Amino acid sequence: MAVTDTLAGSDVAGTADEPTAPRGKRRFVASPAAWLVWGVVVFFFVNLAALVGSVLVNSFARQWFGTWLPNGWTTKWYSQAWDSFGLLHVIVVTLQVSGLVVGISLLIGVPASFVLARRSFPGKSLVFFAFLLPIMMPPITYGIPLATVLYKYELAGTMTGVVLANLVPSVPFVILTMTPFVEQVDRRIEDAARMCGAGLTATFTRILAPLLLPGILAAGILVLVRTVAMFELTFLTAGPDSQTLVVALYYSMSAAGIRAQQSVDAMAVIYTSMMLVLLVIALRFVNPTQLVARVKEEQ
Amino acid sequence: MRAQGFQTLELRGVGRRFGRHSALRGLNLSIQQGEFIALLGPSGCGKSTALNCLAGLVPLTWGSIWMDGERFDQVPCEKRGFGMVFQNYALFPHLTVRGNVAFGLRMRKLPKAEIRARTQEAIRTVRLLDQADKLPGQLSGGQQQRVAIARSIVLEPAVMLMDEPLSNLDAKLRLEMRTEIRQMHQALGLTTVYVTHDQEEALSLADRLVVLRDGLVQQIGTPEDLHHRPATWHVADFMGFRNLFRLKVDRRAEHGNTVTLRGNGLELDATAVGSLSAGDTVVVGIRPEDVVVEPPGNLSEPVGEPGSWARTGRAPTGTVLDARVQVVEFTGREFAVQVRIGDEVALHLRTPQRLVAGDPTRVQLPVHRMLAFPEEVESGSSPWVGAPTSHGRGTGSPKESEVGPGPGTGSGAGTGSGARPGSGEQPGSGARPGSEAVSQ
Amino acid sequence: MSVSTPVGSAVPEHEGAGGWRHRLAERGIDRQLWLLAPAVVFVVLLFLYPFFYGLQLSFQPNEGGPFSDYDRFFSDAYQRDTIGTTLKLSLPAALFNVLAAVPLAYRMRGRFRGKRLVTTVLVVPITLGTVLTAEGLLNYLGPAGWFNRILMDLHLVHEPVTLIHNYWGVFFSLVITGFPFAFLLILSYLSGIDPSLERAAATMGAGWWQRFRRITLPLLTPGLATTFCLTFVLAFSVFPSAILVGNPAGSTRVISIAAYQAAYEQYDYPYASAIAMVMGLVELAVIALVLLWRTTLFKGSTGGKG
Repeated sequence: MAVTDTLAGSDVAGTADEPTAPRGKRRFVASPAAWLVWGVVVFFFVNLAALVGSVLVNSFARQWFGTWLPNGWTTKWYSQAWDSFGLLHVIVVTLQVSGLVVGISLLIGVPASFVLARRSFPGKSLVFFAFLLPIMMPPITYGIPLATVLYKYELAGTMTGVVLANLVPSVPFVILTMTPFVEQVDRRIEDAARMCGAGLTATFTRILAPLLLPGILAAGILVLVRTVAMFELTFLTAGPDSQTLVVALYYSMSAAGIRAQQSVDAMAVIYTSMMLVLLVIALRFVNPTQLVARVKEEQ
Repeated sequence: MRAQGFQTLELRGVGRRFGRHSALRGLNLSIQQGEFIALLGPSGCGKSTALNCLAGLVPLTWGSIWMDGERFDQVPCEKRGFGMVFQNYALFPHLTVRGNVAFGLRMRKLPKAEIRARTQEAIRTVRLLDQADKLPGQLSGGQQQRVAIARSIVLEPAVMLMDEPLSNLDAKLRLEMRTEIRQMHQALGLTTVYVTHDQEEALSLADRLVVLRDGLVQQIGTPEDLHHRPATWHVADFMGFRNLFRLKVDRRAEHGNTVTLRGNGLELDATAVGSLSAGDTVVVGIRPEDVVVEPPGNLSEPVGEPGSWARTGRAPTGTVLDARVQVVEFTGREFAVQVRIGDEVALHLRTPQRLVAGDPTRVQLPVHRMLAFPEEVESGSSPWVGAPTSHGRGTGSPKESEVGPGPGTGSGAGTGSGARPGSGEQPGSGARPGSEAVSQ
Repeated sequence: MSVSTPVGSAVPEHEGAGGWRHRLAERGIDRQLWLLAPAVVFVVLLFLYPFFYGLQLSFQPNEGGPFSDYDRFFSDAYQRDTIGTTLKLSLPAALFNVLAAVPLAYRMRGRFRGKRLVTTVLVVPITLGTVLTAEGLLNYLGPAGWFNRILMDLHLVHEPVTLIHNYWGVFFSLVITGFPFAFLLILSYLSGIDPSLERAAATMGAGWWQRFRRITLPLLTPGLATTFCLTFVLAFSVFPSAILVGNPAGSTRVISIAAYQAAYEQYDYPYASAIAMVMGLVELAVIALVLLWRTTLFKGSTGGKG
């Protein structure tokens, strides 16, 4: 629904751009390079759709061997997956973990992003580098030592351990996402608030928090999406009771043969739909490019 | 404290360093209740730094600020009770006009009824009652500026600080707002410190001006002082002396300040500013509007001999020089003309006469308008010996003058840019970092 | 104003404290910096401490001298080769993703109808993650999957092409998640370049290739280097898809599998830490090389953002 909204939005932009549109179209028809580019994009999308579609079809298939489509449809795999994998519990855990990670990483990351975007102080680049490292390093590299430490303090296998592990890339991610939003707020506005007699706390709660709200929303949503999809760190630190959906999915896949493929696919579809719901929510607040880049796309 | 009704606010040796760059050094200034002070200078001269130091937004590196004998510079900015109007207005974009104006009163936790009444009154003062419930983004630049002013005056600040408040407005609006600011100052009697790079704005608004360059005070004085008696050629440059060239002192009159200068194929008389002796290199300047174009009829007569005052004893009126017209621009009421004199020296002048490019003409440079400054600038103290050096209220020029930076190496009409002061020294006023004790 | 005003009395009282606080403030250190404290504590406790704990653990093997675990890793060809296997997968995949994304992003840098749709659909595989992509690849590219059926029905091949449980399965998985990532990143860098620069070049008679080669590409290069690094990090840490759609015992036994096995199958944490350190070091070395190349070759070209 959000997607249609935004499409409507881009239509408006398109009509506003009317004078240039026909010119663009003409070039479009003339250039073979454009056809090639669009061909590649369409090829990519068709394969992507088939990839997701095959999972979807298989999850509803009664039996599917060596034919274009299965020879019958059923929803029994869903109920089976729901029961045999204890999906309700897994989903609840997933939501709890992601919610905690979002909340804590925002609480830690937003003030830090403010200081890093605004201030210069001795050792700033060192601090910034320390925040950048968890994003630049493969999760396995720091995940294994982290899991070891968590085992040492008997936190591994618990939900606390999973939350702590997922915070490691999330806090830096909040900081990086928030930085352009902080930079957008004119620092003179803070000065003006102080000249009006507002102290540090009042400046933050009355002036900055409302102005940074869009950025905080964006960062929160992005961390939510990433945490639900985060496999490695959760995999390394989770116990049987603290698995998130993606880890449960992995276990059911790697234990294939014990259960029917369709049952695994049903679980995959549940995971997919959860991600898509999150994605739709996310795209209400952020630009698609922002999901990968901290650069705000110019309109 | 909200410093209502102070008598004097004193800046002693105030300076600020950013990294290794001294943005402001040794600023001594005493501000009286109700005064309108303008800090004037080109961009990067330290005037905004001075304002931010006064506001408390930037901690001082050197010096101290005193209010009626009380140390003031370590009072946090939000407790100083000053108001500030920013160049880009810095309105809170998520609050309405009313919300913006009421913000400071809310921070003071005043009773609701009082907040409402005072907010209303301030908005009325800036004539925005019909826009009071709009957001800043819905207002024009001039209206936003008024909101910013209302937001400050509603707090009845001890000092009103204005940081280039008009520079984002178009020319017409700028003139209107200038008048309004002046009127408001007269009506409310708010002590105002006003930063600008526009000398016309500063001259028209301020009781006193502080001219800054490269972080150093060049001159402090009334508008008349600065206009008629600039202390250095940098100030002159800033005050509209568009024609500035470097010449050497040939000889000096026995009486008075008149000197004869030579160089670039020119020989002319000028009024010395400060002590000059024969052989000194000077920068001599004159405003384009002070150059007189001889009527066409006089062209056949021979040029008057420079230095004739020495023999005749007659008060010199000016040097007359042959010139060739180069560029003529029509500016509406008159022509802005560029002519060449001497060895291809460009001279700008304004005249109602219709001159033609390429034609010969003859110009007169009145001696009392032709000011010769020492090339090495000594900033701070006024070289206008005997002339009333301003500020009737008995403050002003720093006690210690500081040797300013050498002028740029460029010829003639140097703008002074590019010359950097020796970086990183201590400020002139003897303020030592970290060692001020309050003697109370 | 009298001497007993609040300000007058407040300042001398706190002169001692105010003095040094003031001096610190002048150097940019004041109360506001406390806002950074939670994040610093966090990064120290949850990232730096475990990292250095793992580092020192890697020098305390269960048996042998301090370097014996590193020695064990490098002397065992089965383990040592995981580095090569990982690089053989991640470097081509990252390079392919960036190179394929550049012309596409260049084409699509302007505004057009449906741009938001394209970018939205591209985001899908990123958010789905590697596990689901792997499941989809198993279904779609499998011997009885739609892809092979199409090829056979078109008589392009006579028997199913093996695209899963080998190198290619993992490669496709890396492209599916990595390509949209690279595309969106490059697109955002491209939109940071002032389009009037290209128009200016066009008025001077530059053709589209010259405009791209002489104007856009140099400005884009820093962004490309960053994109390559980030895509490479994604590809280098490939783990679930290497197991699920690859051949985890052979051609796609990447270094993360080695580290994982040491930790969770042999429970040899020092050895696992040692492998993790090697993994991090190799990755950082590649990134350092790319960034070094960027700074030496393209000094002074500023463009895009970042």
